[in-house]
Amino acid sequence: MTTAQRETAAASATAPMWDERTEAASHRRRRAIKLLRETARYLILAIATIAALYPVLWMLAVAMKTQPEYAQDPMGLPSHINFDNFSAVLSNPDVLQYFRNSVIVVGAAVPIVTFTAVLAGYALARLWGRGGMVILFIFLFSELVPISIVAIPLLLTIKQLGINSGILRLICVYSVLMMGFAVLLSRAFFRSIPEELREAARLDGCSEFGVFRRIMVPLARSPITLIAVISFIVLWNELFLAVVLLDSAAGRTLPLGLTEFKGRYATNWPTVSAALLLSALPTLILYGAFQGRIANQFSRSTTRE
Amino acid sequence: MASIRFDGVTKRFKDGTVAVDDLHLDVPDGEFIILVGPSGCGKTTALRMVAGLEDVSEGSIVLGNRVVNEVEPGHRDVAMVFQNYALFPHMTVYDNMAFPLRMRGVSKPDVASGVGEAAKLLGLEELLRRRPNQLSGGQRQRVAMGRAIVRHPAAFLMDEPLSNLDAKLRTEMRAELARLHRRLGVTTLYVTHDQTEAMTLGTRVAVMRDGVMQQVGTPQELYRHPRNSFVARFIGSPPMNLMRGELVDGALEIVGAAGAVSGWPAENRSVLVGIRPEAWHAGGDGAGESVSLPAVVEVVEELGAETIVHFRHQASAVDVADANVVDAETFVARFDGNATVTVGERMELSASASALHVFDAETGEALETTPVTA
Repeated sequence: MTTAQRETAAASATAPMWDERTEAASHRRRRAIKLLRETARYLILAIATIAALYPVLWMLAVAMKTQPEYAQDPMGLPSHINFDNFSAVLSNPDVLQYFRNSVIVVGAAVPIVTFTAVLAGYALARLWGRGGMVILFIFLFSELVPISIVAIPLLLTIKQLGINSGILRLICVYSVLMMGFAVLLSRAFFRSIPEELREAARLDGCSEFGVFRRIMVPLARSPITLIAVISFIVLWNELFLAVVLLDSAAGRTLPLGLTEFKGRYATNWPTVSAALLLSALPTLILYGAFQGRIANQFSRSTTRE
Repeated sequence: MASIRFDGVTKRFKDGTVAVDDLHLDVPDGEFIILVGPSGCGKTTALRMVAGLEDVSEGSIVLGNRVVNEVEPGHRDVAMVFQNYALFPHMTVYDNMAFPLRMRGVSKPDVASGVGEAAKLLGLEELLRRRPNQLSGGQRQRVAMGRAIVRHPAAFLMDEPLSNLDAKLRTEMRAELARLHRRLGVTTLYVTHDQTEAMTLGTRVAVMRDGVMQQVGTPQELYRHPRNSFVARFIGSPPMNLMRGELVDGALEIVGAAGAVSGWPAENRSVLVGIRPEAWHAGGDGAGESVSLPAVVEVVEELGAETIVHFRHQASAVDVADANVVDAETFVARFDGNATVTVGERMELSASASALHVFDAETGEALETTPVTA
């Protein structure tokens, strides 16, 4: 054996086995890749969160500035926490009137939509045959037609019906505005409930309406909540139909009222920001209160037991 | 309690499918009768017509002495146990079982008493506050039965209630059902596709195929005297072996087998010869007339108490599934668990004349005359 061969043999005897070294290196590599993946994932999520939150946070910053402060530095942070703009908005009697009108209109429309859609959805899912498909198609078609196309005919129809009250006009139109979406969602949910539950209840002596009331509605809490919350959010922020259908200041809802508000304070963006944030509060609170049930309904729609 | 009678009942769906065709069946008060057959044979449709969940196209269904064709499901005084249990997921076990009583306006104390009694009978006392999603399959099944029992109905209707359970649980629940029936004595119409359930549970068994009743009788009658080749193959596990045969001047021969059985009517026709797996004996023919054939072992299934052997022979076997006669190549024999059989082994199999079932090759109907055995 040469010297070189002896040295190589001695080195091999004392060094770790080749597969142990490889395994350790592989383990380090896997950890590094995992760390990189996690970092990238959180980075993307952070960017998305900031992108979503930034406009709201910027509006909050603007709402806490004075007008000169805003004019000097529109994008910067306020020098101190200041709620004067919020107080100004809340103490404005017109704003309170708009808020009251929105509460009345949306407060009436949402229960009408929810109640009617749940009844109609169940009937279309379980009680109607081929005739139900025609009605379903009508609802589906109504979702495809842009509201701007039917706005003027809608106004003419409302006038012909003799509905002169602005609030009543909005309640009527808002109630049907969300109906297509609500009925489709409701029907889809009731179709997912096994027919055997209805049959079992009928065999136990339950009437058809009893089945609906005692079995179907309790099971439909999540979709009912979803319909109500989505309808509330959409109708609370609805502006276009309010512009078309309201021909006096008396029935103005908050979104329409705030546009006038902006006009009155043509350059007072801090006050406008405060008004917009306050108007969004009810929807934020509502969604926050029911987000669990809403998320549950969405996850139910994607997984089956 | 009440009897159930099908008087020429036919069910025709809108697309023209005849699910049940001229069904005549009498179920006396207190009987546990099984409707069995392959998927799509009409057994569930027949059950649902009794429940009022399907309309009757022709004929009438009589519960007790009342024609119930136009009676609402809730007014027929029948209780149904569904295949998927149909428990109300938002209600507790107590509320599920109390539901039928509450629908009938029963007072709270009586509801509590009724539910308590049924819960005790089914071992559900500890589960009354749970919801269905917190129960195992067997527990859900018992709750479904409890909901049926609390009403003290005139009849129970059960639509494959054990099909979603594992094999072990199914065996336990079969015993539970039999015990309940002995205890309560309520007329029960039970639908299943499992012929083991049919043979073990029912006082009588009605075999259906393509909407038509094939035969109704006790399990032993169906097993020993099947009226046609379909019943012969459907009842019994492993199924009866069917082979082509010929009646030649009163002598029965199996194609490809040795031996002939005399004593049949003096006619010539093609027939199907049925031999139950347990009727085969290894070795040559014993006393009396018999048939025998050489065979090669293909598959051996050792089940402990018995050994099932699949063997191959050139005699053409027959499978009457779906009304098509398809030549199969293997036969099945059942031996004692101590039998030692190896794959590839050649053996001579024989069966005595008394073990043969003969069916007309065209119609599948059993020949009425049996041979005189020695």
